[in-house]
Amino acid sequence: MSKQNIHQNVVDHYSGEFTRLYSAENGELSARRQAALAEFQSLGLPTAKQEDWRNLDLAPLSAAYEVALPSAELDYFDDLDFKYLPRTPRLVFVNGHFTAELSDLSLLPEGVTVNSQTYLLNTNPDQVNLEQPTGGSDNPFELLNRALFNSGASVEIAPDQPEPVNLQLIFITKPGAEQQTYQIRNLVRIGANSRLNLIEQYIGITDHIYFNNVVTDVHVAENGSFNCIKIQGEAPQGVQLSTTTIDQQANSTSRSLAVSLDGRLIRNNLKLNLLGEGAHGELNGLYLGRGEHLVDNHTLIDHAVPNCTSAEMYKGILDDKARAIFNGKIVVRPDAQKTDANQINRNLLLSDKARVHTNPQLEIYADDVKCSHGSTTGELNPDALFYLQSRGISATAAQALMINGFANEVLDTISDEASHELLSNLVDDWFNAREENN
Amino acid sequence: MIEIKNLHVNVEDKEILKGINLSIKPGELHAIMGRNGSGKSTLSNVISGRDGYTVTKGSITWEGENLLKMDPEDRACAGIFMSFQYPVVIPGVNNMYFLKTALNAQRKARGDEELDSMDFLALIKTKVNEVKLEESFLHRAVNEGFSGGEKKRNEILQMITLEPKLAILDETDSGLDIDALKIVAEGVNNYRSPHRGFLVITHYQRILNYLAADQIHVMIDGKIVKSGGKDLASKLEAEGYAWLEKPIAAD
Repeated sequence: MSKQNIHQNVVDHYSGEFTRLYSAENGELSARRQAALAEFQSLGLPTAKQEDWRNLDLAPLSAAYEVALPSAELDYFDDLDFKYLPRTPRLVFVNGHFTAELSDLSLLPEGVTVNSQTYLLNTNPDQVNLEQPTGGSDNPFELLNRALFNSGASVEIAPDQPEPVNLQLIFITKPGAEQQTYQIRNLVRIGANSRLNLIEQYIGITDHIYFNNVVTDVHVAENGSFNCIKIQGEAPQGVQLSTTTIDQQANSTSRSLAVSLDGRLIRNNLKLNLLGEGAHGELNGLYLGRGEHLVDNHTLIDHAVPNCTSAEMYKGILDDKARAIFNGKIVVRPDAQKTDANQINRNLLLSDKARVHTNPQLEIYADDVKCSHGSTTGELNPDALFYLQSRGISATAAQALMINGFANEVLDTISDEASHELLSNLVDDWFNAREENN
Repeated sequence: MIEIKNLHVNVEDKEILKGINLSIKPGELHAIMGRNGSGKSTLSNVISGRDGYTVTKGSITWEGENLLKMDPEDRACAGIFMSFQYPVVIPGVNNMYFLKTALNAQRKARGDEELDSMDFLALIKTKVNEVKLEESFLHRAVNEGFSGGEKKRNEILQMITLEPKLAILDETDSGLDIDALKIVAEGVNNYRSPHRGFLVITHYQRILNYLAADQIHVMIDGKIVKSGGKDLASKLEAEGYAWLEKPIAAD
């Protein structure tokens, strides 16, 4: 069977899933789902010939996964063991199902409204906000998610909240049926002058193959602030495709950190839209790859208006036969004078079979701008290793110190102490597992 | 404590050291002077165990053991320290954490108890004052954003924290202004003891105005051509190396 036929079969499969799940529904939401499905059908699955999907092994994304239904029927509570912030409010989802027993919203301040999307879909479907991301979507998986999603969180913060709001969204994948897909859609709205510190964490505890198709739309109003740490700790056979869009209005700030720890394939599409003057956005990332895993980060920063600044730092550590892709695009539109944008991508290869494809893309249509980019890929610096050894530190410990140091440059962008410790611990777990294998 | 005999060293098949003999006893301070390219830094690198140097002949004995068979970290734990000519920047590695890791690795190797964070903090605070570095340098990445003088003072900080038996200062004085030079010299003088030896490698006689050298050696083209006392340094300062390069010319 040709690739095209396989792809058509998968498109047909999802169309069948749509019929199975939503054919009985009608109303505004149903119409929007239908429209998204139609767009998905005409666009089809991506191919390796498309620029945005080059170098990526598309097979794990292009299989016929069964759409999982959030359900309380599984026994969710046996020895779930994961690291999180115990004193920060949290919504916990297990296999797409919002699990009140594991969640804790008791410390959530007033002025914050959180809901599971499943609840909203069941109780008030026509109120569910189902906009397409700003600038439209040419990403078939975003369209697929819009057509099929049945899980995720909705977070709204009223304007003028005096204190920053802290929140965790935790998505756990446990052994369920084989080859399922979880269609998760998160919506975050931050009112003017309000601040949100969000942790969006994915944890896979299963040997099954599964596919998390996640869409997160964030809107930050004037003078608002959004601080986000996405933690991708999928199971070794887990696949995640994540499409995040952050819209920023005037004088708002955002700082996003994506930490990819594990998963057979992780693909992140992250788009930052600087829509109001004086907005500042930071995108940081740390990706760790081992085995034959693949991590792909595609970022796009769109400077649409004057006087905005952006900074981007992505670092990767790749062991074994792992591969990574970094594609960082910065667009400065004709009106966006006085833009200041810088981007850096650094990769550390711990094995001669690890590979990185890095591709910065600057599209600058304004003349009075400051833009810089750079990328490096290399091994541990032998001079630095010798320096540490010459002080009495063993070769193994010196390597660990340097690898940690490489990661710390990204982790140190986290200002909250508890979050910093959580991430340091998760990264340490990754290094310890590596040392045990060596 | 260290005994170097007829040491020949190649770098990429080119002979750099051509038969070095040098013996340093506890309490002594030796200086090696020579022009760039004479082989001074090769000697310090071979003693501290850097890769890329092939010993073709001769030996280095450390307290009765074959030093050349030891890994760099084992040499450090045995009490050898080298202040680098070009200290390396190690991004993301906290200077204080690095120092604590190094000290505890050495203490562990010697069978001493490791210092906990509180004890180490108390120790390092006194040491950092001795080299007149701000405490904030402890919280920065190793050598990152340090000026030339700060890097060298950070080397001396490591020396006085690790308290080696033999400290090699590889052109630690190069590029230092007079104040920084005095701090470095003071660090050395305060840590001289009957149990500790020093090997000061330098291009200039200047630092020897502040250090009391027991012996001064002149290295030319991979050999020690002349050894002597303080007068030798003064003569080199006044007359240069040329008179030593013509072996026929009499003293």
